Amino acid sequence: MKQMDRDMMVERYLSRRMGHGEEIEFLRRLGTDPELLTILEAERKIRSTLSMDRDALPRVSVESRFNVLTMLGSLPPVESVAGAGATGGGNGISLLAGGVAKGIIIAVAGIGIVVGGIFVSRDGAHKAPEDRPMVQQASRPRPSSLPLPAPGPEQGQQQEPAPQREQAAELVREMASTKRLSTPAVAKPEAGRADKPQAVHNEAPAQTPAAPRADSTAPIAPHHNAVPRDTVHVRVTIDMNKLRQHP
Amino acid sequence: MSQYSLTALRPIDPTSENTEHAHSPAGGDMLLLERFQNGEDAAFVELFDRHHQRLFIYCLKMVGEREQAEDLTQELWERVLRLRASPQKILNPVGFFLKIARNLSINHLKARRHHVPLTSLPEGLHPAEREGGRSELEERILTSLELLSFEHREVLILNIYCGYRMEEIAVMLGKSPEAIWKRASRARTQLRRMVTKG
Repeated sequence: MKQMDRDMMVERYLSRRMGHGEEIEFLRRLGTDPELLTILEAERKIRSTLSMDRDALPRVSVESRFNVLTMLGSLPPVESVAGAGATGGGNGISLLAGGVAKGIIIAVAGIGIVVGGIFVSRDGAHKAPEDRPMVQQASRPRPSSLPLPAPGPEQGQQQEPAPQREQAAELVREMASTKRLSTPAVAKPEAGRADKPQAVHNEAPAQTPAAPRADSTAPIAPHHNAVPRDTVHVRVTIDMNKLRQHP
Repeated sequence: MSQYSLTALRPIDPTSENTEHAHSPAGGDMLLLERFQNGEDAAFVELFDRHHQRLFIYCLKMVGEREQAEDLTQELWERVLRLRASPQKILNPVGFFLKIARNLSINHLKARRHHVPLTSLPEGLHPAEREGGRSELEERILTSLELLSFEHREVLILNIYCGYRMEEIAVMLGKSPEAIWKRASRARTQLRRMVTKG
Protein backbone atom coordinates (compact mmCIF):
# COMPACT_ATOMS: atom_id res chain seq x y z
CA MET A 1 0.00 0.00 0.00
CA LYS A 2 1.34 3.44 -0.96
CA GLN A 3 1.95 6.15 1.59
CA MET A 4 -0.61 8.42 -0.08
CA ASP A 5 -3.27 5.75 0.19
CA ARG A 6 -2.57 5.37 3.90
CA ASP A 7 -2.84 9.14 4.43
CA MET A 8 -6.11 9.29 2.58
CA MET A 9 -7.56 6.35 4.50
CA VAL A 10 -6.63 7.88 7.86
CA GLU A 11 -8.02 11.20 6.79
CA ARG A 12 -11.30 9.66 5.67
CA TYR A 13 -11.55 7.57 8.81
CA LEU A 14 -11.02 10.45 11.23
CA SER A 15 -13.34 12.77 9.35
CA ARG A 16 -16.01 10.05 9.33
CA ARG A 17 -16.31 9.94 5.58
CA MET A 18 -15.98 6.18 5.29
CA GLY A 19 -18.82 3.88 4.51
CA HIS A 20 -19.60 0.96 6.83
CA GLY A 21 -17.82 -1.65 4.73
CA GLU A 22 -14.85 0.59 4.12
CA GLU A 23 -14.52 1.27 7.84
CA ILE A 24 -14.50 -2.44 8.69
CA GLU A 25 -11.85 -3.02 6.06
CA PHE A 26 -9.75 -0.13 7.51
CA LEU A 27 -9.96 -1.51 11.08
CA ARG A 28 -8.97 -4.96 9.86
CA ARG A 29 -5.97 -3.47 8.04
CA LEU A 30 -4.83 -1.61 11.17
CA GLY A 31 -3.96 -4.92 12.78
CA THR A 32 -1.73 -5.97 9.91
CA ASP A 33 -0.13 -2.65 8.86
CA PRO A 34 1.97 -1.06 11.66
CA GLU A 35 2.76 1.99 9.52
CA LEU A 36 -0.93 2.70 9.10
CA LEU A 37 -1.35 2.51 12.87
CA THR A 38 1.54 4.97 13.36
CA ILE A 39 -0.05 7.44 10.97
CA LEU A 40 -3.39 7.13 12.70
CA GLU A 41 -1.90 7.78 16.14
CA ALA A 42 0.09 10.78 14.88
CA GLU A 43 -2.97 12.24 13.24
CA ARG A 44 -5.01 11.82 16.41
CA LYS A 45 -2.32 13.56 18.41
CA ILE A 46 -2.17 16.44 15.93
CA ARG A 47 -5.90 16.95 16.07
CA SER A 48 -6.06 16.90 19.83
CA THR A 49 -3.13 19.33 20.09
CA LEU A 50 -4.68 21.76 17.63
CA SER A 51 -8.00 21.52 19.46
CA MET A 52 -6.31 22.31 22.76
CA ASP A 53 -4.48 25.22 21.17
CA ARG A 54 -7.76 26.49 19.75
CA ASP A 55 -9.46 26.36 23.13
CA ALA A 56 -6.59 28.29 24.71
CA LEU A 57 -6.81 31.15 22.22
CA PRO A 58 -7.83 34.50 23.65
CA ARG A 59 -11.15 36.17 23.07
CA VAL A 60 -11.06 39.38 21.12
CA SER A 61 -10.71 42.37 23.39
CA VAL A 62 -13.59 44.62 24.34
CA GLU A 63 -11.54 47.59 23.25
CA SER A 64 -11.44 46.29 19.69
CA ARG A 65 -15.21 45.97 19.62
CA PHE A 66 -15.58 49.44 21.09
CA ASN A 67 -13.30 50.94 18.43
CA VAL A 68 -15.22 49.37 15.56
CA LEU A 69 -18.60 50.38 16.96
CA THR A 70 -17.30 53.91 17.49
CA MET A 71 -16.35 54.02 13.84
CA LEU A 72 -19.86 52.82 13.02
CA GLY A 73 -21.32 55.63 15.10
CA SER A 74 -19.26 58.22 13.28
CA LEU A 75 -20.61 57.22 9.88
CA PRO A 76 -22.75 59.88 8.19
CA PRO A 77 -26.40 58.88 7.94
CA VAL A 78 -27.75 57.56 4.69
CA GLU A 79 -29.83 60.31 3.04
CA SER A 80 -32.61 58.10 1.71
CA VAL A 81 -33.31 54.57 0.60
CA ALA A 82 -34.11 55.85 -2.86
CA GLY A 83 -30.71 57.46 -3.03
CA ALA A 84 -29.00 54.23 -2.05
CA GLY A 85 -30.95 52.41 -4.74
CA ALA A 86 -29.88 54.91 -7.33
CA THR A 87 -26.24 54.28 -6.52
CA GLY A 88 -26.59 50.59 -7.15
CA GLY A 89 -26.71 49.30 -3.61
CA GLY A 90 -30.45 48.63 -3.42
CA ASN A 91 -32.79 46.25 -5.09
CA GLY A 92 -35.24 46.81 -7.89
CA ILE A 93 -37.94 48.15 -5.61
CA SER A 94 -35.74 50.89 -4.27
CA LEU A 95 -34.71 51.79 -7.80
CA LEU A 96 -38.36 52.03 -8.76
CA ALA A 97 -39.10 54.14 -5.68
CA GLY A 98 -36.28 56.48 -6.61
CA GLY A 99 -37.66 56.90 -10.11
CA VAL A 100 -41.19 57.56 -8.85
CA ALA A 101 -39.92 60.10 -6.33
CA LYS A 102 -37.98 61.92 -9.02
CA GLY A 103 -41.08 61.93 -11.26
CA ILE A 104 -43.22 63.39 -8.49
CA ILE A 105 -40.69 66.12 -7.79
CA ILE A 106 -40.50 67.06 -11.47
CA ALA A 107 -44.31 67.07 -11.77
CA VAL A 108 -44.75 69.28 -8.69
CA ALA A 109 -42.09 71.68 -9.96
CA GLY A 110 -43.83 71.83 -13.34
CA ILE A 111 -47.21 72.54 -11.76
CA GLY A 112 -45.62 75.22 -9.62
CA ILE A 113 -44.14 76.91 -12.68
CA VAL A 114 -47.47 76.83 -14.54
CA VAL A 115 -49.45 78.16 -11.55
CA GLY A 116 -46.86 80.83 -10.93
CA GLY A 117 -47.04 81.85 -14.57
CA ILE A 118 -50.84 82.13 -14.37
CA PHE A 119 -50.64 84.37 -11.31
CA VAL A 120 -48.08 86.61 -12.95
CA SER A 121 -50.11 86.93 -16.12
CA ARG A 122 -53.27 87.70 -14.12
CA ASP A 123 -51.44 90.38 -12.16
CA GLY A 124 -50.20 91.93 -15.35
CA ALA A 125 -53.62 91.83 -17.06
CA HIS A 126 -55.65 93.35 -14.23
CA LYS A 127 -53.25 96.07 -13.21
CA ALA A 128 -53.77 99.66 -14.14
CA PRO A 129 -51.16 100.87 -16.64
CA GLU A 130 -49.43 102.95 -14.01
CA ASP A 131 -49.04 99.95 -11.69
CA ARG A 132 -47.52 97.56 -14.20
CA PRO A 133 -43.90 98.49 -13.78
CA MET A 134 -44.13 97.93 -10.06
CA VAL A 135 -45.87 94.57 -10.53
CA GLN A 136 -43.17 93.45 -12.86
CA GLN A 137 -40.57 94.55 -10.44
CA ALA A 138 -42.30 92.68 -7.64
CA SER A 139 -43.00 89.49 -9.49
CA ARG A 140 -39.59 89.06 -11.05
CA PRO A 141 -37.63 87.81 -8.06
CA ARG A 142 -40.40 85.73 -6.52
CA PRO A 143 -40.02 81.97 -6.88
CA SER A 144 -43.07 80.72 -8.71
CA SER A 145 -43.29 77.47 -6.77
CA LEU A 146 -43.85 79.16 -3.42
CA PRO A 147 -47.47 79.21 -2.22
CA LEU A 148 -49.12 82.56 -1.96
CA PRO A 149 -50.87 83.20 1.35
CA ALA A 150 -54.31 84.74 1.49
CA PRO A 151 -54.51 88.36 2.65
CA GLY A 152 -55.07 88.56 6.38
CA PRO A 153 -56.97 91.14 8.38
CA GLU A 154 -53.74 92.82 9.48
CA GLN A 155 -52.78 93.49 5.92
CA GLY A 156 -56.22 94.92 5.19
CA GLN A 157 -55.95 97.24 8.18
CA GLN A 158 -52.62 98.57 7.03
CA GLN A 159 -53.68 99.39 3.49
CA GLU A 160 -53.04 102.99 2.46
CA PRO A 161 -55.93 105.19 1.31
CA ALA A 162 -56.51 105.63 -2.43
CA PRO A 163 -55.05 109.15 -2.82
CA GLN A 164 -51.87 108.06 -1.15
CA ARG A 165 -51.62 105.10 -3.51
CA GLU A 166 -51.91 107.42 -6.49
CA GLN A 167 -49.20 109.61 -5.05
CA ALA A 168 -47.05 106.56 -4.48
CA ALA A 169 -47.54 105.44 -8.05
CA GLU A 170 -46.50 108.85 -9.29
CA LEU A 171 -43.43 108.77 -7.16
CA VAL A 172 -42.58 105.35 -8.47
CA ARG A 173 -42.82 106.59 -12.03
CA GLU A 174 -40.58 109.52 -11.16
CA MET A 175 -38.02 107.19 -9.66
CA ALA A 176 -38.23 104.89 -12.65
CA SER A 177 -37.61 107.81 -14.98
CA THR A 178 -34.51 108.75 -13.00
CA LYS A 179 -33.30 105.12 -13.34
CA ARG A 180 -33.49 104.46 -9.67
CA LEU A 181 -35.84 101.50 -10.20
CA SER A 182 -34.80 100.47 -13.67
CA THR A 183 -32.92 97.43 -12.36
CA PRO A 184 -33.78 95.05 -9.53
CA ALA A 185 -32.36 96.02 -6.19
CA VAL A 186 -30.88 92.58 -5.79
CA ALA A 187 -28.69 93.03 -8.82
CA LYS A 188 -27.56 96.58 -7.92
CA PRO A 189 -28.13 97.10 -4.23
CA GLU A 190 -27.94 100.56 -2.79
CA ALA A 191 -25.60 101.12 0.08
CA GLY A 192 -27.08 100.17 3.42
CA ARG A 193 -30.23 98.63 2.01
CA ALA A 194 -30.07 95.47 -0.05
CA ASP A 195 -26.67 94.63 1.34
CA LYS A 196 -28.20 94.14 4.76
CA PRO A 197 -31.82 93.14 4.33
CA GLN A 198 -32.16 91.90 7.89
CA ALA A 199 -31.06 95.27 9.23
CA VAL A 200 -33.70 97.01 7.14
CA HIS A 201 -36.35 94.69 8.59
CA ASN A 202 -35.38 95.73 12.04
CA GLU A 203 -35.77 99.35 11.12
CA ALA A 204 -39.32 99.03 9.79
CA PRO A 205 -40.90 95.79 10.97
CA ALA A 206 -44.54 96.93 11.03
CA GLN A 207 -44.86 98.14 7.47
CA THR A 208 -45.54 94.76 5.94
CA PRO A 209 -47.99 95.24 3.04
CA ALA A 210 -46.95 97.09 -0.05
CA ALA A 211 -49.25 99.92 -0.97
CA PRO A 212 -49.18 99.56 -4.76
CA ARG A 213 -50.14 95.88 -4.47
CA ALA A 214 -53.05 96.34 -2.12
CA ASP A 215 -55.61 95.62 -4.84
CA SER A 216 -53.76 92.64 -6.22
CA THR A 217 -55.31 89.18 -6.06
CA ALA A 218 -51.94 87.76 -5.05
CA PRO A 219 -50.75 89.81 -2.13
CA ILE A 220 -47.13 89.83 -1.10
CA ALA A 221 -46.30 87.35 1.59
CA PRO A 222 -45.04 88.46 5.00
CA HIS A 223 -41.53 89.80 4.73
CA HIS A 224 -39.84 87.05 6.72
CA ASN A 225 -40.49 84.34 4.13
CA ALA A 226 -38.08 85.14 1.32
CA VAL A 227 -35.35 87.62 0.63
CA PRO A 228 -36.35 88.78 -2.90
CA ARG A 229 -39.86 89.78 -1.76
CA ASP A 230 -38.33 91.65 1.15
CA THR A 231 -36.19 93.63 -1.25
CA VAL A 232 -39.22 94.88 -3.16
CA HIS A 233 -41.04 95.59 0.06
CA VAL A 234 -38.20 97.74 1.38
CA ARG A 235 -38.18 99.82 -1.75
CA VAL A 236 -41.87 100.68 -1.42
CA THR A 237 -41.55 101.44 2.27
CA ILE A 238 -39.04 104.16 1.59
CA ASP A 239 -41.45 105.66 -0.92
CA MET A 240 -44.11 105.86 1.77
CA ASN A 241 -41.69 107.62 4.07
CA LYS A 242 -41.07 110.22 1.44
CA LEU A 243 -44.80 110.66 1.08
CA ARG A 244 -45.12 111.23 4.78
CA GLN A 245 -42.36 113.83 4.69
CA HIS A 246 -44.27 115.74 1.95
CA PRO A 247 -47.95 115.49 2.82
CA MET B 1 -48.99 28.17 -16.88
CA SER B 2 -47.89 27.48 -13.34
CA GLN B 3 -45.66 24.55 -12.48
CA TYR B 4 -46.31 22.09 -9.67
CA SER B 5 -43.99 19.82 -7.79
CA LEU B 6 -44.91 16.16 -8.04
CA THR B 7 -44.60 15.38 -4.38
CA ALA B 8 -46.82 17.95 -2.75
CA LEU B 9 -48.75 19.49 -5.62
CA ARG B 10 -47.87 22.94 -4.47
CA PRO B 11 -47.12 25.76 -6.88
CA ILE B 12 -43.41 26.15 -7.33
CA ASP B 13 -42.24 29.56 -6.33
CA PRO B 14 -39.70 30.68 -8.92
CA THR B 15 -37.95 32.72 -6.24
CA SER B 16 -37.80 29.83 -3.79
CA GLU B 17 -34.08 29.40 -4.40
CA ASN B 18 -33.50 32.99 -3.44
CA THR B 19 -35.73 32.61 -0.40
CA GLU B 20 -33.82 29.56 0.75
CA HIS B 21 -30.59 31.39 0.11
CA ALA B 22 -31.83 34.32 2.17
CA HIS B 23 -32.53 32.02 5.12
CA SER B 24 -29.17 30.27 4.90
CA PRO B 25 -26.30 31.70 6.96
CA ALA B 26 -24.64 33.17 3.87
CA GLY B 27 -27.94 34.58 2.65
CA GLY B 28 -28.63 36.04 6.09
CA ASP B 29 -25.24 37.70 6.01
CA MET B 30 -26.01 39.07 2.58
CA LEU B 31 -29.27 40.60 3.78
CA LEU B 32 -27.55 42.02 6.84
CA LEU B 33 -24.87 43.61 4.71
CA GLU B 34 -27.49 45.05 2.39
CA ARG B 35 -29.46 46.44 5.32
CA PHE B 36 -26.29 48.00 6.70
CA GLN B 37 -25.56 49.64 3.38
CA ASN B 38 -29.09 51.02 3.41
CA GLY B 39 -28.39 52.75 6.70
CA GLU B 40 -29.26 50.19 9.39
CA ASP B 41 -26.50 50.19 11.98
CA ALA B 42 -27.98 47.27 13.92
CA ALA B 43 -27.42 45.02 10.92
CA PHE B 44 -23.73 45.81 11.00
CA VAL B 45 -23.55 45.05 14.72
CA GLU B 46 -25.14 41.65 14.09
CA LEU B 47 -22.69 40.90 11.29
CA PHE B 48 -19.85 42.01 13.51
CA ASP B 49 -20.92 39.80 16.41
CA ARG B 50 -21.32 36.82 14.11
CA HIS B 51 -17.88 36.93 12.56
CA HIS B 52 -15.57 39.10 14.59
CA GLN B 53 -14.15 36.43 16.86
CA ARG B 54 -13.55 33.93 14.07
CA LEU B 55 -11.90 36.53 11.86
CA PHE B 56 -9.75 37.61 14.76
CA ILE B 57 -8.68 34.01 15.33
CA TYR B 58 -7.91 33.67 11.64
CA CYS B 59 -5.71 36.77 11.71
CA LEU B 60 -4.12 35.70 14.98
CA LYS B 61 -3.14 32.29 13.66
CA MET B 62 -1.97 33.70 10.35
CA VAL B 63 0.23 36.49 11.74
CA GLY B 64 0.93 35.03 15.18
CA GLU B 65 0.66 38.26 17.18
CA ARG B 66 -2.37 39.24 19.15
CA GLU B 67 -1.99 43.01 18.86
CA GLN B 68 -1.38 42.82 15.15
CA ALA B 69 -4.35 40.49 14.75
CA GLU B 70 -6.60 42.96 16.53
CA ASP B 71 -5.33 45.79 14.36
CA LEU B 72 -5.89 43.78 11.22
CA THR B 73 -9.40 42.78 12.27
CA GLN B 74 -10.19 46.39 13.05
CA GLU B 75 -8.85 47.43 9.66
CA LEU B 76 -11.05 44.76 8.10
CA TRP B 77 -14.21 46.15 9.69
CA GLU B 78 -13.17 49.65 8.76
CA ARG B 79 -13.15 48.56 5.15
CA VAL B 80 -16.57 46.98 5.56
CA LEU B 81 -17.86 50.23 7.02
CA ARG B 82 -16.68 52.06 3.92
CA LEU B 83 -19.21 50.05 1.94
CA ARG B 84 -21.92 52.42 3.11
CA ALA B 85 -20.30 55.29 1.23
CA SER B 86 -19.93 53.19 -1.92
CA PRO B 87 -22.49 50.36 -1.73
CA GLN B 88 -21.83 47.08 -3.50
CA LYS B 89 -23.85 43.95 -4.04
CA ILE B 90 -21.88 41.26 -2.22
CA LEU B 91 -23.24 37.75 -2.61
CA ASN B 92 -20.74 36.06 -0.30
CA PRO B 93 -20.09 38.37 2.65
CA VAL B 94 -18.02 35.88 4.68
CA GLY B 95 -15.86 35.20 1.65
CA PHE B 96 -15.55 38.94 1.22
CA PHE B 97 -14.49 39.37 4.86
CA LEU B 98 -12.06 36.48 4.60
CA LYS B 99 -10.56 37.91 1.44
CA ILE B 100 -9.88 41.19 3.22
CA ALA B 101 -8.46 39.39 6.26
CA ARG B 102 -6.30 37.26 4.03
CA ASN B 103 -4.91 40.21 2.06
CA LEU B 104 -4.22 42.14 5.24
CA SER B 105 -2.48 39.14 6.77
CA ILE B 106 -0.36 38.55 3.69
CA ASN B 107 0.62 42.21 3.53
CA HIS B 108 1.54 42.14 7.18
CA LEU B 109 3.61 38.99 6.79
CA LYS B 110 5.40 40.43 3.78
CA ALA B 111 6.19 43.63 5.63
CA ARG B 112 7.40 41.68 8.63
CA ARG B 113 9.51 39.42 6.49
CA HIS B 114 11.17 42.41 4.86
CA HIS B 115 11.65 44.58 7.89
CA VAL B 116 11.72 42.39 10.99
CA PRO B 117 14.06 39.40 11.01
CA LEU B 118 13.13 36.48 13.22
CA THR B 119 16.12 37.09 15.47
CA SER B 120 14.89 40.56 16.36
CA LEU B 121 11.51 39.35 17.60
CA PRO B 122 10.79 39.91 21.29
CA GLU B 123 11.41 36.91 23.48
CA GLY B 124 7.75 36.11 24.00
CA LEU B 125 7.08 36.05 20.28
CA HIS B 126 9.93 33.79 19.31
CA PRO B 127 8.57 30.37 18.34
CA ALA B 128 11.26 28.56 20.33
CA GLU B 129 10.45 30.40 23.52
CA ARG B 130 6.70 30.30 23.64
CA GLU B 131 4.68 29.47 26.68
CA GLY B 132 5.47 26.29 28.54
CA GLY B 133 3.13 23.57 29.77
CA ARG B 134 3.19 21.74 26.47
CA SER B 135 4.98 18.55 25.68
CA GLU B 136 7.76 18.50 23.15
CA LEU B 137 5.50 16.77 20.64
CA GLU B 138 2.81 19.39 21.05
CA GLU B 139 5.32 22.18 20.55
CA ARG B 140 6.58 20.42 17.47
CA ILE B 141 3.08 20.12 16.08
CA LEU B 142 2.33 23.82 16.58
CA THR B 143 5.67 24.88 15.12
CA SER B 144 5.13 22.60 12.14
CA LEU B 145 1.74 24.18 11.54
CA GLU B 146 3.43 27.54 11.12
CA LEU B 147 5.87 26.06 8.64
CA LEU B 148 3.15 24.88 6.31
CA SER B 149 2.49 26.80 3.12
CA PHE B 150 0.02 29.67 3.44
CA GLU B 151 -2.81 27.89 1.62
CA HIS B 152 -2.47 24.65 3.56
CA ARG B 153 -2.24 26.43 6.87
CA GLU B 154 -5.21 28.57 5.97
CA VAL B 155 -7.48 25.60 5.36
CA LEU B 156 -6.53 23.96 8.65
CA ILE B 157 -6.98 27.19 10.58
CA LEU B 158 -10.36 27.90 9.03
CA ASN B 159 -11.48 24.35 9.74
CA ILE B 160 -9.98 23.58 13.13
CA TYR B 161 -9.58 26.98 14.74
CA CYS B 162 -12.38 29.03 13.21
CA GLY B 163 -14.84 26.15 13.06
CA TYR B 164 -15.93 26.50 9.44
CA ARG B 165 -16.99 23.33 7.68
CA MET B 166 -15.13 22.34 4.51
CA GLU B 167 -18.17 23.19 2.40
CA GLU B 168 -18.27 26.67 3.91
CA ILE B 169 -14.56 27.13 3.33
CA ALA B 170 -15.06 26.09 -0.28
CA VAL B 171 -17.70 28.81 -0.73
CA MET B 172 -15.55 31.37 1.05
CA LEU B 173 -12.51 30.64 -1.06
CA GLY B 174 -14.46 30.20 -4.27
CA LYS B 175 -13.34 26.58 -4.75
CA SER B 176 -15.17 23.31 -5.07
CA PRO B 177 -15.66 21.26 -1.87
CA GLU B 178 -13.57 18.46 -3.36
CA ALA B 179 -10.66 20.81 -3.97
CA ILE B 180 -10.84 22.02 -0.39
CA TRP B 181 -11.02 18.48 0.93
CA LYS B 182 -7.93 17.61 -1.09
CA ARG B 183 -6.09 20.69 0.10
CA ALA B 184 -6.95 19.93 3.73
CA SER B 185 -5.88 16.33 3.30
CA ARG B 186 -2.53 17.36 1.85
CA ALA B 187 -2.04 19.87 4.64
CA ARG B 188 -2.65 17.22 7.29
CA THR B 189 -0.37 14.81 5.56
CA GLN B 190 2.42 17.35 5.35
CA LEU B 191 1.94 18.31 8.97
CA ARG B 192 1.98 14.70 10.07
CA ARG B 193 5.13 14.00 8.13
CA MET B 194 6.85 17.03 9.59
CA VAL B 195 5.87 15.94 13.07
CA THR B 196 6.86 12.29 12.68
CA LYS B 197 10.16 13.17 10.96
CA GLY B 198 11.15 15.65 13.65
